[in-house]
Amino acid sequence: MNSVNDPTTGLDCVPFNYGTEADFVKKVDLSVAGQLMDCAECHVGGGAMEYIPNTDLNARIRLDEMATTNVPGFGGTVAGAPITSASYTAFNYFIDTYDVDGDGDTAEAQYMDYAQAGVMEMDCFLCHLPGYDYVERRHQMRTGKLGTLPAIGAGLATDNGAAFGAADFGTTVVYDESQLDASGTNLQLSGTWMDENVAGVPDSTNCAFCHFNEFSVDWKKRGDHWAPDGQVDFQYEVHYNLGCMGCHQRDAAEQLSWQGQDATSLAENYSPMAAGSLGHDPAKGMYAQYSGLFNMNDNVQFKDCVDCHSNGTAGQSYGAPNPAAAHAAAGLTAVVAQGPTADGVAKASHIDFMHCSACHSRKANSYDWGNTGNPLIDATGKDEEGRLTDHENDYVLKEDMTDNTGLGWFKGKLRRISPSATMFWRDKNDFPNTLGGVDANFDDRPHGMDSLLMTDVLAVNEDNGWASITEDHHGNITPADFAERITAFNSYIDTKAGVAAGTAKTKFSIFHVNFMNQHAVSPANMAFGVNGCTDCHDAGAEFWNGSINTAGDNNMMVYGPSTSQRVPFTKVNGFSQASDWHPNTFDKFAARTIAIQISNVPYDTPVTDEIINVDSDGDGIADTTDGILDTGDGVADSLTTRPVDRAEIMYETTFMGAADYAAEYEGGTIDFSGFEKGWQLIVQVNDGTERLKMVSTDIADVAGLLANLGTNMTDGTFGFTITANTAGDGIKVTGTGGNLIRLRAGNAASFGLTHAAYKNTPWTAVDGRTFNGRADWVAYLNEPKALPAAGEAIIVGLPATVEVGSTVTLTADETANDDAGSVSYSWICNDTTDDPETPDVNEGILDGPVVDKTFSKIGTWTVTLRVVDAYGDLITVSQVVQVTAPAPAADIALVLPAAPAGTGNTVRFSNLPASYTMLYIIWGDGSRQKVYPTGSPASVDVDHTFSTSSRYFNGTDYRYLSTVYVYNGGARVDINREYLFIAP
Amino acid sequence: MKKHYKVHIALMTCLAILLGMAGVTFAAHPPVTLKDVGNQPIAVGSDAAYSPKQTCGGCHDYDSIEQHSYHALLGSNELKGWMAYNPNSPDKYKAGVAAKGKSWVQTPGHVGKW
Repeated sequence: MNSVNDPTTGLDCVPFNYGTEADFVKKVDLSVAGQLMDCAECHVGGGAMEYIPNTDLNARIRLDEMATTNVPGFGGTVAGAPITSASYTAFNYFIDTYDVDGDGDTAEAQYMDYAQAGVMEMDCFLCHLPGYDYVERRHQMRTGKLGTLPAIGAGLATDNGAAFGAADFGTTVVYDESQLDASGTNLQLSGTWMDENVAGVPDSTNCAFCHFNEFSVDWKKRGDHWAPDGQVDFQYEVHYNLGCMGCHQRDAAEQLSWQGQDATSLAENYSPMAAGSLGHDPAKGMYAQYSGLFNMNDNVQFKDCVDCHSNGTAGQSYGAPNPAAAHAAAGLTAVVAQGPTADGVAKASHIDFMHCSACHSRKANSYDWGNTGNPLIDATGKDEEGRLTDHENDYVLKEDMTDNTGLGWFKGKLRRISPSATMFWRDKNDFPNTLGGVDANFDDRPHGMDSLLMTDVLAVNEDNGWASITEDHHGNITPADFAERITAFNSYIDTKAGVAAGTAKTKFSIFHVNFMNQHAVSPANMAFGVNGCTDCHDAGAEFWNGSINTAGDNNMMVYGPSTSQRVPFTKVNGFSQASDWHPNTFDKFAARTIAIQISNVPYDTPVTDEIINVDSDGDGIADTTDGILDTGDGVADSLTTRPVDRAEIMYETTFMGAADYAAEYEGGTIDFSGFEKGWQLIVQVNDGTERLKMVSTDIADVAGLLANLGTNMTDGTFGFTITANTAGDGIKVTGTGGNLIRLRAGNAASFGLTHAAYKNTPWTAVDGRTFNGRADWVAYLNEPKALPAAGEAIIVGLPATVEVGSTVTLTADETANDDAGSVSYSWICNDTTDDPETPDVNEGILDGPVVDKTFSKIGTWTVTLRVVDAYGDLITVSQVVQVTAPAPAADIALVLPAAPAGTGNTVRFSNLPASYTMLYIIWGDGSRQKVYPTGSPASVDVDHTFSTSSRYFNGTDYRYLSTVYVYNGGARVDINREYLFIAP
Repeated sequence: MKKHYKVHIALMTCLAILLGMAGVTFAAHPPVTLKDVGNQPIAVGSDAAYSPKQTCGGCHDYDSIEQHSYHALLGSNELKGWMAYNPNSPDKYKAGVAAKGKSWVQTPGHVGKW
């Protein structure tokens, strides 16, 4: 199918016609018709299981009409043509992996005549009928009887035994009239039956069949598991009694989509699903590093932990206890950590950077009741059911999921995860056909280490009587066992592709995806941290320490050295590091992918079993001579898979970050081996622009590469040039016009420019120490940690009296808070008030433990030190400061000779401050005067005739207590008071 | 007197509960006639498999439910571009996985290859 823009008609979603049965068989492993008999065991029908997709949902053609109705675009015209059995598409043919006709041929193409088989309509009862018989539905599905599934799954009917391909074989059943009201003309479900059996809100048992029961998807991803029948100890998931819809029922923030304004109007009773709007769906979560349904409806109307436990506002909250007080009492709200930063500054509490699941999804001891789960998915062969992968055999599953989880970063938070591993066959020869490669999956795109078609795997397995390799070898697989299959696959692919023997290079990879572990919530008394810091911060604590087995509890796989039999899944960080994990396994900054390989562990095969002993990397040295597993001859001659350390999923081996911008980066030698098509060169310029160029074809040399990158990318148009490097065997990128440049990941390593994209970037801990990588960092985390002490506020060295206009250093005793963790200091003094003209600035607050404060007003003021500690508590202490006039103070004296009392005299005010604007004189005879000298002179003479009131006469002289206040603007900067004596 | 008062309280409480319950209607589902894919009632004795679309869809908006439900989509979201699988996505959490040399292969699961 051309999902977008069919090259002939321009339409979307036009089924692709393979033309011949031979080509269909060659290229297809799982068509839509095949999915209807396989994947649909956990899909409810509708969509592509009922219709050929079309962007206009009302223009879709039902599958049972496509043989007689024009399918838009099919046949090369917009009007389209019917898709009959003469055309081979993914909709009307399938590979007969379940052998519906019983002829023993599982590699043949079969025609699906939907007019006889029926289609898979959306089956309401699959979710809304508790007790729905999924198992019987699955058995029917495997035989291609699609129209019978709703009746048989609901227990209303049984199979009539019709053979595949017979008339109406999938559209007729034998009704069980005991379940029906057959008293009238037509078959009915009585109202009583509907009331007694149908659940408006889906029952958890219906959800569990696909999601939680043993072997279903959530069991497979992370070992989540509802209780089996009769199980009464639900302590591994305290929310069991709320059921699935307890959390997945939408919150009350939005009207339910099926409730319109007019209850009688079907048109109003539905708001269609769109970005941000749920349709007929439960709400779903979002916390996935990887998800097949990571879309715009993730987390829409979903009730997360906080919606019941903290906010309590998002619909039904079930009286969930609020953990805030308990978290605070445990110190988890103290700001002691950095969260997704590493600059040494504590800015986050444990609650800030850890999702609830990190501590509360601890899988309780469930071994006794057999809580298996999270197996290695062995895609090397079919399982007992006939599915083309096997995750159910005794060797690949984990027998005990107790604490078998890890931690991973997602969107700035640490969350509980479970790595899910899949082992599959692929072709390592990813050269173009012209250079000796092979298109191993026959999709006409030879690059890319193709995974083999599952139908090809099945064909080879059937020829040899093989099932999955773990099942066949009972979880004890040797290099010889792998070699036997690799030889067979190579021969098969070479023959099928028509290439020379030895072209195909079949290997296997084990690919890991971290699935978030949000279920299996354990009681609070089992949470990490309930026993204090050492629940996690201890080398013996199984929080970030310890490991997780991803290969299965009873599965030992040994294979050839180097890449002779196994290859890593991919390369990450600009293709600079091999990894067996999904590239979205990010570090805590989401800046780098954490590269993890666990399937390259040297292993010393016991001597009696030795098959391979080669110098795999051609350096003339035996692969390993350190006897890592010295059970054989002391030479590790093969590889095996080890458990992954939890810390490996959280932290890179060496901490790295983006490279610095530089004037030029010169690259090393580029390996032009013939698969350059698709390489991405992404140049970032320090002006904020970024330019990406994808190599459009395979390249032979540097000149060809530069030509392919194009003029604009190389000639300075974008602020940089790209030219040949000095040696002429690679390239260099040079900023122009003063620009600095660096690379973003892309294929930086392929261009020999890894150093232009990344550099070593040590982390700084909150105690100031720096760390270069995971080992040191984990050792630091393992050091004993204590909760910070409460903050203290102590002022040191502040004088009781200061002279106005002087600057004093206010000093807090920081040593008092040495054990208080992250503490902030600020000061306020009531000689300063907030300026209403600048509401965003609090002029009265000085931040920091040591600050300078200028006292500009004479008076008695209160200085307050404010300390906010790691718990957010405010601690204060205050001290009074007397701000006095400077000494010597201004002098007041009569200018001699003085005139007799009652006549004019001159008074001299001297020793005035360097800067002032006004003298406010209280003469002491009942009169006052303001004087505004120009230029702040040191001395000012003021004429005044003093009152001769008898009240000032002391029997000898007239005595006047004169006072002068010296102001500089609004600030009083000096004051003096003197007695003046004037003779009568 | 006090005793009578308590009795009255108890009676009124019971009455209130009964009246309250009387106000709650447990909507009885009407009988449902099974219909085949051609929207014809299935006669007693017939063997035609019932069609949820025609049977339930007579009252419920089957088409809208089928068209707007991710449980039915099998990757249609991704085909419609709701998942911006793109190796160069500005959202680092949505940047997809490009097989080496196959950067155009960006769809997940059922609608493509890794």
